[in-house]
Amino acid sequence: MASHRSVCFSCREPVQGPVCVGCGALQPPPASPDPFVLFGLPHRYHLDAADLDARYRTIARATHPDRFVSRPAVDRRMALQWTAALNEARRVLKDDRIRARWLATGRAAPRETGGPALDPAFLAEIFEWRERDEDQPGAMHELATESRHDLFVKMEAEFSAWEAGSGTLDHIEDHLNRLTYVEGLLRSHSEA
Amino acid sequence: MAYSNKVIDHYENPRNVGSMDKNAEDVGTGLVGAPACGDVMKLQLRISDDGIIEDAKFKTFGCGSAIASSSLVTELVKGRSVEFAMSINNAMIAEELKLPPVKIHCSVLAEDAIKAAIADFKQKRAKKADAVAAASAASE
Repeated sequence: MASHRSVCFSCREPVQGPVCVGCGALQPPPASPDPFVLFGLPHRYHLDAADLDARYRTIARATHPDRFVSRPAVDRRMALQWTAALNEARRVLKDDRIRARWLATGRAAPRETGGPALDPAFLAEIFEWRERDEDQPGAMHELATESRHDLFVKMEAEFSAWEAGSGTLDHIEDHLNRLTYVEGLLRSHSEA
Repeated sequence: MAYSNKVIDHYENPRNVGSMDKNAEDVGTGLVGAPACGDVMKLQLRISDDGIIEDAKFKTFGCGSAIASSSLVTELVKGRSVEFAMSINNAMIAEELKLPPVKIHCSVLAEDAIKAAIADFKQKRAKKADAVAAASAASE
């Protein structure tokens, strides 16, 4: 695990990891909102889920509020901050869509407004799927499922190139916005 | 959640369902969508030379509120001016249909569709004006 802080906030001795070996004080979680930093992971879309879980468990065990019940209030507060930070970071990293958006835009959630509008040609395509579905029930589900697959393949390729040091993440947000639409369609349609 | 009577009325008897030729010079087409639910709404207006909306048609794939919102706006704008249509906003639609807060985005979609249709029409007009200007410049 990466050391987040060089000096213990309490006893000023050098410290590695979340808990000071000298005085036992729990250090605050890293100030950076970067979920990769918290787990000591490089910025990569491709991620080993089992490794992430193992890292999560190691830090969660070391910083768990139960360990600090007999410690001063400041440690108990820190423990709660660690819990919140760990859960949020794991939420971002676990979901392919959220992790992709974070890497491409630095945000975990789509922009509420002012974001790039969806390509009109894409909307026309969706409209066509739905019209086709009227004559041929199930056609839309098939087309949308295919489109979802394509979008993941495209994102995968773009991230692979980027991780290899060639290429940008310029189209990821557009792919994700389309994916949100297609998955919304699949969801609302399967509920109907 | 209970739909209001107006929503049910528009949903069961939608007005002005259909489509027009999107390539026609006097037709503006607005195509908008709601990513979260996958709804998609197409609204078309036929507009006369003096800016009167002679006809309006829509086709919406979505929930009752989205269908009612688009049906209502086609009814509102028919026979009215483009300026009037531009003044329609989602709050008016939501109030008229008594939409609950979770369905406000349906009225936003209808407002966006009207504005997109008018923008498309104006763009066609501008292109046509450019073409006429270019043709007269070339003949001189």
